[in-house]
Amino acid sequence: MSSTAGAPAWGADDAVTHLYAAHYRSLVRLAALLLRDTAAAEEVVQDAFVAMHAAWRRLADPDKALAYLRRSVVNGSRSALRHRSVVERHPPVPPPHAASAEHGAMVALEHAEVMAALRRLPQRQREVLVLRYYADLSEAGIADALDISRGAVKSHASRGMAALRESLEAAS
Amino acid sequence: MTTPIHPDDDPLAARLRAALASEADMVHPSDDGLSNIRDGIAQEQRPWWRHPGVLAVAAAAVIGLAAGGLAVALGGDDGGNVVAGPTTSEEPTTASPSPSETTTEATDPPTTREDVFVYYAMDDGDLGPRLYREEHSVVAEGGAGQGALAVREMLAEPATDPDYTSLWPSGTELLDYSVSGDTATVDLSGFVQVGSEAELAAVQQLVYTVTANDKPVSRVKLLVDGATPTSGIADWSSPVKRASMLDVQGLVWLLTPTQDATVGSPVEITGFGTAFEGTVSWEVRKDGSDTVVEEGFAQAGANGDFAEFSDTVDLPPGTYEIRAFESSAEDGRPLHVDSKTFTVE
Repeated sequence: MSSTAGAPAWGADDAVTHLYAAHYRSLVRLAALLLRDTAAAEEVVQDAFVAMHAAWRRLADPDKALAYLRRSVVNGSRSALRHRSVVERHPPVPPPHAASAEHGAMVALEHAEVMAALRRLPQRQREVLVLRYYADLSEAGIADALDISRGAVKSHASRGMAALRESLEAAS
Repeated sequence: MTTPIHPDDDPLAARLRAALASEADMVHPSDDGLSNIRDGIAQEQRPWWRHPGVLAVAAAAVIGLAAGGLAVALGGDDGGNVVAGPTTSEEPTTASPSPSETTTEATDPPTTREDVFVYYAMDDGDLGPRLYREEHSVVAEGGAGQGALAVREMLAEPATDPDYTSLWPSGTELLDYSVSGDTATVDLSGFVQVGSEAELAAVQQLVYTVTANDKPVSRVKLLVDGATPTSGIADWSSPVKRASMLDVQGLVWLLTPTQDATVGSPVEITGFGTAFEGTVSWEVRKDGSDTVVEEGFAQAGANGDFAEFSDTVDLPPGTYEIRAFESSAEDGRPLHVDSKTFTVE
């Protein structure tokens, strides 16, 4: 486990190896939720690890390094979104996922509907909701990841949820 | 994956949580992540100017160079597997690097901030949608200029003041931004419902935002997905200048206190506007109450001229709403109201 307490004095390479094992997958999933593109998400997360390696001398702490990785992933996802070409902005609805067999297509449909509504939100609101409801970050954690105030987190979250509710009610 | 129980979740939050978890479960990273990262770290040994522009990458590369002596001593080279293995693990924490201390500061997270002016709109009540200005601190990335940063902010971020809104549809993105002479060409991914009053106001929202931040620019050539957008009421094939403030701007702006600000007493009231005989009225209420606890007047511009106004008010600690407006010369009712909620410590 990469817990802080009693963390060995890792070098930058150890930090990369350990944090990769513990968090690579969830960070890629976070970026994929922001980007809808697994390959691009992996690239963003890999870049974040490279930057973290360079910053390790100052970070020197797994928790700080994880926070740094999250910030880099959010920033990198934003840049990637901006550079994405026009045609890719409206990709097709993803196919229902395999695990949904026993729940029936209704569950997949419900998820697709919620995700579609989420994607219609302004970027910042979307980021706040993904960090809160996927990454399970606290308000302070979200504020840190997005480099905004806690008040702004609150207001983006409440506006985002209100817009989501409205959008889903309008659709049903 | 076990989903923790979240008793505070309302049904919508639970739906969102489930949808995100299910979407995330569909994402399966490939196996070469770690080796790609190690390649990337090795590449950091290259001179910083060969990296694509981002500040953070450049900063990271400086560190790469600083640590490079050690890596080379360990037998690494540009293509070599410099970082593999535990032998280098003591390098960052124990080795005291010979290059200057500046390397320790060069590793801040990839954020540099710029202040930009962003225009939003609010329905005046009497005059339709009018423009209001906010100052936002934004993350400067990729060498984008002030104008592009401000337009992105305008499209992606809500106003701080909940009474203000962007006239551009949410999800509209900035595709391209370039400046030639006094003209900025701005390519957006979407346009407003054409033929409406909102169309003219939205274009002016964009023009005001661009020209407030990009000083040499006085005209904006609007493109939507690379082409001149069709319109019911205007021709956007030529660059657009700012319309007169009197025609498009909010007539009374409250600039301070800003929305949701926490301030000390006496509170500085400042604004910008025009009013009959230059007289702007202001009123302070306890937040959520209808009782005015303080009121006063300030001198703004008159006869269609806009000018700054200011006043101060002493307030005990608490949360308040302030409104600034022109009192109707006919019946005294408030016109062109701008309001902010703020807290006195």
